[in-house]
Amino acid sequence: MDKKKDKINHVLITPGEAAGTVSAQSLGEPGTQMTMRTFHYAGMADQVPTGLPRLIEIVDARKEAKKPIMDIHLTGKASKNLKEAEKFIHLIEHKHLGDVAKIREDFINKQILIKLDIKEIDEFGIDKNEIKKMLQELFKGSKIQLKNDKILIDCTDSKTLKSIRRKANKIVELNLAGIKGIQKAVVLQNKKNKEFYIRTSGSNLADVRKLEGVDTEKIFTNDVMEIHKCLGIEAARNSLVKELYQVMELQGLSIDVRHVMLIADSMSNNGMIRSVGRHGLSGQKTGVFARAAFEETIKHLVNAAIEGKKDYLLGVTENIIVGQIVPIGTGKVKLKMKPMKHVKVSEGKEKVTKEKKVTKKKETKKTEKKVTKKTVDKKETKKTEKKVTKKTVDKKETKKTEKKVTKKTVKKATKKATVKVKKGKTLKEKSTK
Amino acid sequence: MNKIIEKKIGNIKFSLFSPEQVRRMSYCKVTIPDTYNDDGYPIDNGLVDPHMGVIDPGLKCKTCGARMGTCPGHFGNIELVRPAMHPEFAKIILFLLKSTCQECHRALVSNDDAKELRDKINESKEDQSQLRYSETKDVKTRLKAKIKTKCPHCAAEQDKISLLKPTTIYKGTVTMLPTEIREWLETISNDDLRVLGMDPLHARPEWMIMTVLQVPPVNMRPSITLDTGERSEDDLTHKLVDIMRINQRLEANINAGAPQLIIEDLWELLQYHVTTYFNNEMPNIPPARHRSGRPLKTLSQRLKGKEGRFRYNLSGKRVNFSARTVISPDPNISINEVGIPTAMAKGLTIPVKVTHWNMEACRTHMESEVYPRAIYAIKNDGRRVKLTESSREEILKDLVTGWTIERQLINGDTVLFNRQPSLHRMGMMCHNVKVLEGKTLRLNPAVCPPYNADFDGDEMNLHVIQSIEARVEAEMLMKVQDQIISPRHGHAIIKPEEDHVSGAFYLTFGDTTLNKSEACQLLIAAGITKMPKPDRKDKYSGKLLFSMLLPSDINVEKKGNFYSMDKNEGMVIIKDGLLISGGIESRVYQSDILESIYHKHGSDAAREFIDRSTRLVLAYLSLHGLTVSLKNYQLDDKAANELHKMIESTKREVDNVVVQYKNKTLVKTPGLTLKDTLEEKILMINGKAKKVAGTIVEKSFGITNPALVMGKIGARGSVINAISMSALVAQQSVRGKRLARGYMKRTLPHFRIGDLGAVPKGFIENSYMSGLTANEFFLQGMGGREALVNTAIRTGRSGYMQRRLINALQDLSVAADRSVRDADGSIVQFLYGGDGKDPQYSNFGKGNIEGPRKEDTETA
Repeated sequence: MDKKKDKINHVLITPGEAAGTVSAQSLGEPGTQMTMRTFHYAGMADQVPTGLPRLIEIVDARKEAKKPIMDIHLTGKASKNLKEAEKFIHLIEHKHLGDVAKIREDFINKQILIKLDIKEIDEFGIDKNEIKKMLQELFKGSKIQLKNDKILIDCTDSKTLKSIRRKANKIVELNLAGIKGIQKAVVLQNKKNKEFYIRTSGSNLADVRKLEGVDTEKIFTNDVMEIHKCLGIEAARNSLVKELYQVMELQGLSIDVRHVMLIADSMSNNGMIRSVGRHGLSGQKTGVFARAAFEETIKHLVNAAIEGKKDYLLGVTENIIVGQIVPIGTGKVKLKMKPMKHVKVSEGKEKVTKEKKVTKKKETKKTEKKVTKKTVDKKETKKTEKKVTKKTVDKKETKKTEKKVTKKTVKKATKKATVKVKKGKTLKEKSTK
Repeated sequence: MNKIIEKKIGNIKFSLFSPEQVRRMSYCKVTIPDTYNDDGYPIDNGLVDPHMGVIDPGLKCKTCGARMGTCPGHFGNIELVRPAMHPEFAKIILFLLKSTCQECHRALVSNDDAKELRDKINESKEDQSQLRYSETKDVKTRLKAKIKTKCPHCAAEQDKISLLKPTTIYKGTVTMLPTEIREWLETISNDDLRVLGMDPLHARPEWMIMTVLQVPPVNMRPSITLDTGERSEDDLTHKLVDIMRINQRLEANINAGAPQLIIEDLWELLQYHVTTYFNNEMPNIPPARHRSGRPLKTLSQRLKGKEGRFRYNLSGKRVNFSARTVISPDPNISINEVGIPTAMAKGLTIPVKVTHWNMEACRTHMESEVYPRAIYAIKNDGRRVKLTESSREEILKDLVTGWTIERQLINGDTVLFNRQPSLHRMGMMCHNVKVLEGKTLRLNPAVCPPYNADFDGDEMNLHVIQSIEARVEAEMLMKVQDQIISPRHGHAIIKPEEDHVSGAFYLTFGDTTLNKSEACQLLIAAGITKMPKPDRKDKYSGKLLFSMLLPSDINVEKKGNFYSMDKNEGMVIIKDGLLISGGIESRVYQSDILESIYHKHGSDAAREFIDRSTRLVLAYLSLHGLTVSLKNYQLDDKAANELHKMIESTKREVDNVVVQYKNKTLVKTPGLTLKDTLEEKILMINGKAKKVAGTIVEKSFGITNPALVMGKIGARGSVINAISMSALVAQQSVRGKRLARGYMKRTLPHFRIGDLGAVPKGFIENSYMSGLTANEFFLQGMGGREALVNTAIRTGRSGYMQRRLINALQDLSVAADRSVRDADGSIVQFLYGGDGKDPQYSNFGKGNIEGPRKEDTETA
């Protein structure tokens, strides 16, 4: 049992670790090895971006994904029966009038001619009179005639030719059936459980969910922003993890999930999906210098000046700029001590003063020695020395105290983590000491 | 010696300069738009007045008395006859004019709204400067919604105010003069400004329209003397001269009572020069140019972008104590070491504090006149003396503890080694110095993967660590052996490759036996001095020799890639550190053995294993020999025949589907058009052809063919390479589709228009051995070009993505409670990775999408 614990302690992440940088590198470094090619999804005519372009797309958190895809699982009979499943296609696939008819503007006589493809219309089960009705609704007051498979729209009231063109464009885009945003739908069969499902190019989670017979629990889209809109930030975060991981996996590049999770978490931790870049994470940093050093230097300096901003030098870039130690890793550890008690110059010999630090976990012989040897201008040296010794302690002399502490903190933290609801606003740290 | 006072900067405040402040800071009123007089001395009250600092060696600064290099420089000022707008603030000025009343100059926000906004600002912090970026933005959007079109205070209707970039502001259709704007801004009250999001104490809006211009110190815009003795002024100086000239002309015209029109023209010109002085890339105005036609680099351009002050000089700095040359391999040094040419070791120094423990060593270094010698000594009073032939004895007399000597690099010193692009943290690691003959930097080929280095002319950088703290830190965190496992996926990244794998395979393959003298040679190469008992009568098996390096707790049972060729030798079985069957191939060598040694015995053992096993294996490979010749890529007649048949049938099959497509008898795949169905079918046929070719090649080559063996065991090359060399190159593609560009409906004029068959669409039936036809060669070039273009584009794109990622995440770090926090303390993860585990140590060679195992989190 103890051995097992030891092993686990060894495996735990070291406090201070620059986790963000490591994760960013882990995702960025293999970027050069990725292919630019698009991926051919089974049954899809469209090529769905994978590899680097897809990775950039996710990380950019674009409002509109290039080629979103949905997998719609069905409930009941439809999932077992191909015919039943195919019926859904007509419900889902979006049809414009332009898809089933030829539309021509007649600028001389100021009218628009629509020639319907009766066969296609019948396939969708739409009546041509219905189309006429829809058009009537669209252009209230215009004269609309229906002759066989032809519809004539009178546009003599339009003053300019441009407005006729505009009308024609509206007609092309008239919704006949299906769900907006879904260009194509195909029935596919799951090889494992033989169930039929529908894969679409184009995605509209909100409307597809409302359809009857759709398994709302299994429904899937690869559009992160849409998931955010419909299902909230938690779901979007999970989707980010899944999509990012999948991109790497498809390229045959292995990466630990923790890195992907960290990136997804920082993109979503304030309740919105923020992009990685000047409009998102990097552009919303607290430090003026950090923002100025990234992109849009002048803008950030000017705004900081008129707002009278202060840069508190909390980040890495800011401290590099002013030439100070960065607050990460070994630069994060500080030495706390009560100054006067230790100023005893003892030559060479180690004198271990038994004094428990209230604030810090433990004090080793080495640091104690260093502290007693103190001279004023060596302060800096000692700080780092202490950091280093602390590290060794972490590794070697992790005795009872250390273990207890980690056990406690970890337990506490796990408890925290299990609280599933993330608050919209980031929590301000107040470490309890 | 001056005592250095060390202080930590707490925060830095940003604000605007007021005219009074500018005047107060000024050490020189610049009135003459010229620099040097005919004698070559700076003109008083000119743009390089010595009150603003000096750049000529020998002259003294008239303000502080210091010389070039020590004088920090001092500001001057130019009084503008008419005010001019600071172009970068034009947008903000527009915002202020738009959101204040034209009549009463109060904010166009009702009292209640103003109160609400003020509360919002004060809610989180009493000081607005402490607001987070997102909070400020939030307030701003709220504010925008509250601005009225009619003044809530005096009920005045508002004209439309617009900005014509860069600096012209219209009120309705009339332009506003800077003086007008300035007067308006002056009357906005501090309270209103606070509501509008400004800090009126440190940034009054009227200061954005300048009445006095600050002149930067001379050492910020040094002039350079050309070889001809001519002086060439800095771009900023040129621009300042322009401003002053116009300023003087404007003044003369005003004094002479010139018509308003002329004055306004000159005023506008002054504004233009001020604008380009600050930013020479403003939209809608032509950039100011140098005589040669090159646009001037003014203030904004100095700060902006990759070569600007921020990214080039502040975020990154040039360093001393560094070196760079070509690298070359040396398998005989440890992975922890780096071979350094003697010349380099002589030129780099390391500071050593003299104590009574190392006094003698330091003394010998100081006494020595040849290579490992001290070059400088720093005495206790901080003075630095050079050790030369003449001064050496004199200095040595006073040597006491507490001195620091700077001595040349010797074996065992710690240095950092780096190759660009440094894409991950293993791109810079800590090595121990090993001074070697020669002129290149040497590294163990097993450390190539983390640096992504090869030896086709790569150069690498070396940095000598100058402080004890840094050295200790580097040794504890950056040592090569501690980076064997990559934090990216928890697998080894420093690992035996290529020849190491081939050597290991041939050593352990089949019943390789070695006689005693050979075995001795190998073992001594690996640093083993104890002879094992011979296991093949009086001879030694390769498996036994390899097992000498394995700890006794290594157990592996794995089907390797070679299993498909040889059922016995493809099955690797290691039992209690003894290799029982199987030839060691890359995956077993790199992960099963190396990684478990690392996890079970630590990094020292892993380093030793890499060092020793690669040496052992290479020693064997030198004995055994490994060559690949043309013959190895020749298919035998039977295989060639089979291949020929296969290619013919493939072409026929393609033709068949094409005919079906033309007759429209092809069965549509659901969701695809007929054309796409055809392409998909052909793709499948091509894929099949390649697969069959693979089996033919494998069968023909057999396990005695080193080219194929190398591919199979993962040493170098692959079966695909072998196929395209000896069987066929197969289908070429552009953008994932068969070739379809060139001429109208055909790739080359040698084919029929609209021919959809295999060959006209880029199917190459020849191999590199049999030789491509001219057509095939051309088509192959199309596919090859795409690959080249793609890599060129990809590097740029992925580089920028990584820069963004790192910039966004660099402040995240693990706190003491193992939560991940941002720079301002906000929590990103409550527990790192959900389980607090370090990916570098926690993978144990398994991928884990399902996340951490439950039992682990519970016991922790």
